[in-house]
Amino acid sequence: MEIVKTENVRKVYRLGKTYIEALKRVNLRIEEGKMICIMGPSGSGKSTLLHIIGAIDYPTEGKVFVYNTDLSNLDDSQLAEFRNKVIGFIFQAFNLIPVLTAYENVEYPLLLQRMTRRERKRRVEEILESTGIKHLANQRPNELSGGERQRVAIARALVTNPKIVIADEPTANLDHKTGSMILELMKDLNTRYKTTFIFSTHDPLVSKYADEVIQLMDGEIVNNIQEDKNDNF
Amino acid sequence: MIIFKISLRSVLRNKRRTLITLLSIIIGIVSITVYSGFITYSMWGLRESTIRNGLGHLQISTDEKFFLLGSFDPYSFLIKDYKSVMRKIMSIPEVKTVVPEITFSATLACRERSAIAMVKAFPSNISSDVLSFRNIIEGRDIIEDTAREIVLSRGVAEKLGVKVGDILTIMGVTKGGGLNAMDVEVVGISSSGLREIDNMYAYMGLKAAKDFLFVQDVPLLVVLLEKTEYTDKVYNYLVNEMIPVSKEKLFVKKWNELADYYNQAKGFYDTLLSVIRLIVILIVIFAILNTMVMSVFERVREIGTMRAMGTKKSKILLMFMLEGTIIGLIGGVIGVLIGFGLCYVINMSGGIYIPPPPGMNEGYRALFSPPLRSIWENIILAFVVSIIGSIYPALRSTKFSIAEALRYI
Repeated sequence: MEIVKTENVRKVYRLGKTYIEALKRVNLRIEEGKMICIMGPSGSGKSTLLHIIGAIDYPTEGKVFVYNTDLSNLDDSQLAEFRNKVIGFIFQAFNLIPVLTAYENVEYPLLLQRMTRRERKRRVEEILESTGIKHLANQRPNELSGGERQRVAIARALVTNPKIVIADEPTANLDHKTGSMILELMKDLNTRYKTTFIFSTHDPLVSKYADEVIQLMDGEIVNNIQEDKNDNF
Repeated sequence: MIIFKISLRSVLRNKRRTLITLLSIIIGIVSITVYSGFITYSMWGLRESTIRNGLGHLQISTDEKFFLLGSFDPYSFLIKDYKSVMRKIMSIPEVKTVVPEITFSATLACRERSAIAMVKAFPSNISSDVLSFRNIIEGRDIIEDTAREIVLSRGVAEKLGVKVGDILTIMGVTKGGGLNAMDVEVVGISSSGLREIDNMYAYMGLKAAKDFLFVQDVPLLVVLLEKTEYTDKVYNYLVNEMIPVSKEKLFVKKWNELADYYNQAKGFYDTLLSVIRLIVILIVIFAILNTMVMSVFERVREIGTMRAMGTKKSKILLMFMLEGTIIGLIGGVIGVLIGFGLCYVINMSGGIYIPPPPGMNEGYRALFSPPLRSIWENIILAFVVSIIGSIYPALRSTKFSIAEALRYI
């Protein structure tokens, strides 16, 4: 089943007096449960595409369907609810809320939903266990290493059981070894929970964790490769 | 709840900035508290001294016109059988005493000088109740009601160039319209602290004055109550219950309708307090505004992240409103505590010497007694003002698009 479908998505930014075309007629289909990598140099439109799929930015033209929902039909408040229930976000700079502990950061998205305290606790503890950071539950973000922070962010993204996790360059702020561990964790969770992962990177080594790699160049998809695990890309 | 937690912890995040903001709020609230304490005490002092300088809490005559013309023409307003009226009023429990009084203008002359004075005459045995704030600074008070003696205010004595023991001639118009004169001995010189009174008044025994003016009755009864707070209660009783059934036509005025100087001073100090309050309000608004704008711009990415996770704009708005309000409330509470503490310390050390205010000829030691209601008034002030100061930054926090906020460095 298709979980993401874009039709002729175009995005134009205004920068002072000039217009920048970040995306040019992007047509994309993503199957549910896959791990998708969007690759391309910086400025190729990776973040913009992820933001549009993640319902935090609007296309200038074209339509986006995520989980059978036409995003252009939703208002601000409906979009917020949609993001909370359907999408999980992981960011390059982790973006944890600095004044909350690891536990509270992970719990945060659940607090936006109606849920009993007991159910919240069960879910948070389960995901902290799965991401291997249960022992860090009471630490604040500034007491954690980069890898630990990204694990908290992953736990936070997954705690709501989202259909899609969007990760914008999740390993860019990590060293290679930690980055690999994070991707292995993501792959593991993808297999275990059947959650669709869409992540971006410009590191070819990272792309090998993906089921599918989408190459983006100057706002256009230049190829759409079914990743062959034996092929040394 | 989580939003409140984030706001509260964010307040503590940038400790130095929060501290500076708090400090400006605290200084503002402390100055309002201390200043209102000073004004409250000084106004209380002025009120009580005005009342005890002869005004009383209530004044009763036969007509409202008396309070305009009475000193020039006391004879048109004489209360017949004033002694029975006095007895009725004295039976009210809140009444401390009732003093019959007659004030008339007279010319005082001694050797080659003369001066016009208002002569206030009342029974000598109760004078200290009504005029306890009139200090005899030289000589003695009038002891014998019938004695041909006079006490001069300081200013009047200076104008005439007389001292205790001198003999004056007093001249005035009697009830029938004739001119009368008699010699009186200056037995004392007094000071009230109020220059306008000290330049105008002289005091005599009531019986001596009645004989001099050929009258049996008085035009004015001055009512002194146990406490100033009873004024309205007794006034209402007199106007609604006693006077309607009295055979005498009577008219009552409250002290605050007659205390012109007090009312002016109160108006002046209240305005001053409003100005100081306004300045403090502006300072607090700008302190909060500045801090909260910084806080918002420092956390744009955090805002973007929270919005991406599905937090609604209204919650983001609430988060920053709460943050500003928490700072305002803490500042308000600490400000009031320090303000009251400071007043207590000043009072314990005996107050602060204040030089003579305009219209007064004596300074005084001011104590600081901020009214109790200023506790919650000032806390509410800090609270409301910090809400106002947070509105713009909080609104601003919702204006970023999420994608823009996430890119923000």
